[in-house]
Amino acid sequence: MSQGELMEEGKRQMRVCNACRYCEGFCAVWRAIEWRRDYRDADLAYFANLCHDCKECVFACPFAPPHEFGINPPRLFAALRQASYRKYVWPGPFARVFQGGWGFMWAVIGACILFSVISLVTQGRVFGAEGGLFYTVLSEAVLEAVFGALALWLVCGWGLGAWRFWRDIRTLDSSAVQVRDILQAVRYALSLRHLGGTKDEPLSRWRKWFHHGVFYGFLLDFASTCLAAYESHILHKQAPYPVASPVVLLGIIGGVGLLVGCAGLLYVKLGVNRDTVDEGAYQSGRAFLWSMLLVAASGLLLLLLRKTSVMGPVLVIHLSFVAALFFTAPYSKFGHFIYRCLALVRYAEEERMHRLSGH
Amino acid sequence: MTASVACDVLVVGGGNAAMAAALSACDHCASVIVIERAPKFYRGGNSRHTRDFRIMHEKPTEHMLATYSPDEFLDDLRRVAGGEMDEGLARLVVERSEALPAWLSQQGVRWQEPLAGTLHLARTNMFMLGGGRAMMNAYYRTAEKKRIAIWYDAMLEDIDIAGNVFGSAQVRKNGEVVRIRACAVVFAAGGYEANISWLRQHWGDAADNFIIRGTAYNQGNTIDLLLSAGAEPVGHPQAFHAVAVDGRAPKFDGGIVTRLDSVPFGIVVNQRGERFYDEGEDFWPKRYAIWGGLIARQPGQVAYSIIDSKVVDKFMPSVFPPIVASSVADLAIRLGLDASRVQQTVDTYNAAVQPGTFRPGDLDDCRTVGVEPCKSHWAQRIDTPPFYAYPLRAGITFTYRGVRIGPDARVQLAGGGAMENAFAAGEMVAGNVLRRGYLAGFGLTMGAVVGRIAGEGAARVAR
Repeated sequence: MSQGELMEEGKRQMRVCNACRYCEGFCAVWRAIEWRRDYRDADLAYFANLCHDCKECVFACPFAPPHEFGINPPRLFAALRQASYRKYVWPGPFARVFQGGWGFMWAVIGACILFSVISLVTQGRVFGAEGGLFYTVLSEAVLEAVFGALALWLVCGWGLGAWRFWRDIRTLDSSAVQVRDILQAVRYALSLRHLGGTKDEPLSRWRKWFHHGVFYGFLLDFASTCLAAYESHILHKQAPYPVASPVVLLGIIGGVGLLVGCAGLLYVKLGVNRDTVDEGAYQSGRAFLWSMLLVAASGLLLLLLRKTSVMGPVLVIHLSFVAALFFTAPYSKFGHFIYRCLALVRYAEEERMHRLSGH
Repeated sequence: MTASVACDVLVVGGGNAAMAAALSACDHCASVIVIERAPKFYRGGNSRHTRDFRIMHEKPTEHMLATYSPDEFLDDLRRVAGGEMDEGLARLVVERSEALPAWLSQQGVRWQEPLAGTLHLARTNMFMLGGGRAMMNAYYRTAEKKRIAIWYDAMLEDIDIAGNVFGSAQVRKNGEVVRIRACAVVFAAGGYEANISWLRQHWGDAADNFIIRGTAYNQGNTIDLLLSAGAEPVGHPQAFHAVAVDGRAPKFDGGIVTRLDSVPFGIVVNQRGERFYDEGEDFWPKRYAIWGGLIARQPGQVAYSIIDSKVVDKFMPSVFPPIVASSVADLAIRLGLDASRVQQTVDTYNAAVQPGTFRPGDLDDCRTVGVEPCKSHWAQRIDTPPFYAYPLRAGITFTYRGVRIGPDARVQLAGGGAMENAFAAGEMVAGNVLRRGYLAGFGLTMGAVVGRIAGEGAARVAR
């Protein structure tokens, strides 16, 4: 289906939904639909990213396939989300190359080669480095340069995507966003308020908890990394840190959260009704979960083996996974939280305005 | 040889009343088989298109505001019944409705918070979260958990009744004939609105132009079998409840999205380009309840709602886009009507419109004088292009014809007395309380109340 056809199909389905409104008690998306009579392409992108894919609606819908109306919001919104990532991402031209599982694998291989070459050139010791001395494999300066550049790439990619999306989903009559809208959106996001799940699909209700595992696990790992940087640069305490240190503890808890969360979500995916998913979105979600899982697993493996002679290769592999995750981040499912959070901010703002006007 | 199975209670049908009966029979220790004529996706008959129960309550509840007394509920029923109502059964349904929300919640049905969108019925009606199909999913999940056997694509072909005792049923399941012997049976297989040839007997060729809003599986064969076996009929065979729907709706199963409520905001003309009824007579739901019947009696069973751009966003959006033109005459041509006749109708109407303050939420003072029929409220000149039109047809929601039951839900016999072990519930007994008229949410309430009574009664007989 072309972009134009997808938009037309989206508007057709939304017109049916807005004439029915039986789903209005389910989640934010339905209220956002009801607040409008006509739909712009950007409205569809807004609804799609507001949708948390819990699927309550499609199993409640009397007009879902095989009904001739063919209403299938989860599949529609998944396809529209994919389209919105492609549309708003920067830099756009690479989107096709780096999305999905293969994009990630190529990035991993590239990073592996890059790190090995750098290590060789800078006379690091991939093999034979011992005692958890990571910087004898790749020097601190090299790591800072590579990951600094990747962070810049990621922030620019996400930031520009976010700006384009935000500009698009707002209209001339949109009110100014207030701090309380942002706080409300943060509350929605941190609690995954709209990721309820449905009893009509096995394990669906576990998704929220697995997602919490992934998200908070990632946050803990990020905190661990920041803390390590602080210890290294400010306190001049070099890695390896003891297992009982906050850096390692945070890393372990976060890593386990990621591992359990990703594995759980992958398992849930196996049981979903494939009629309710968009195949592209399904594959890209799966690829992202695998990439996160590999980062977490290789990180924990590195911790386990850091005092042995294979530390060097494991470090290179782990860093390659991390680098590939960041490098593909603007194009992978990773960026979904940006669009979803912005959609939630927009929703919080609309919700406040409609409450004020008494609708 | 025909395969044969046995159970305590056989339930014929798979909607709200049938599942209420099945679960209730199961809770009273009966083994139950449910036969649903439709395939799994379409299970639940018209219940999958429903949205709310009308519930009596003496104090505010989690999901309902204020109070709704039994007397007020009964008054509401009497108002729509047009003088013909079984008071005893009506009172029973009203009184038992109070216990429904808790029982339904136990079956896994969830409820929607009272919202602005729920048609201002938050005091009298409870809305299922996600609507009828979500409710049916909950019913079936619970039934499966309780090991009730559910047969899809299973149609009742014949019943074996000796005197006033039901013995067995012949069922065609996925093309194969199976005989089910049961100690008791509950019939809850809906009405016959999807049986066009049956409608044609009473409505002639007009039946071909009706839209059936609900399931295509409500063929009335169960009613037919029961009446042939000596059950006492109830309700007029011509009677149905119909609303105005978009004329472009699918023949069957268009459900709620085909409704159209543009009528009070403009005028409605028939195929001859003439107005035929006061478009501003009353509010929803009375308006909702009469326009289907009005259109069913027009030539070709079609009408056209004509409005101008002043009011195009004043009613619920329609699933089909309106037909648009820059002049009334052009609009008439697009609709295939006589342009000069429609222009004349609009001009005459416009000239009759009196000044007033347009207030769509009230019975306002915008009316016509000196035009027949008059428009008593919300009358504004149709003068601001572009002009819009929606084709309207009669969308049949349900039928009233069925079998008479007693207060214990037993099927009554035409020759007097009642069936010993056969019960009925749902749309096929709707005519026992209302022979005409419509009260939002009453159908589901009566279905669940009578279904529970029937299921419990059937289980007691079986023991």
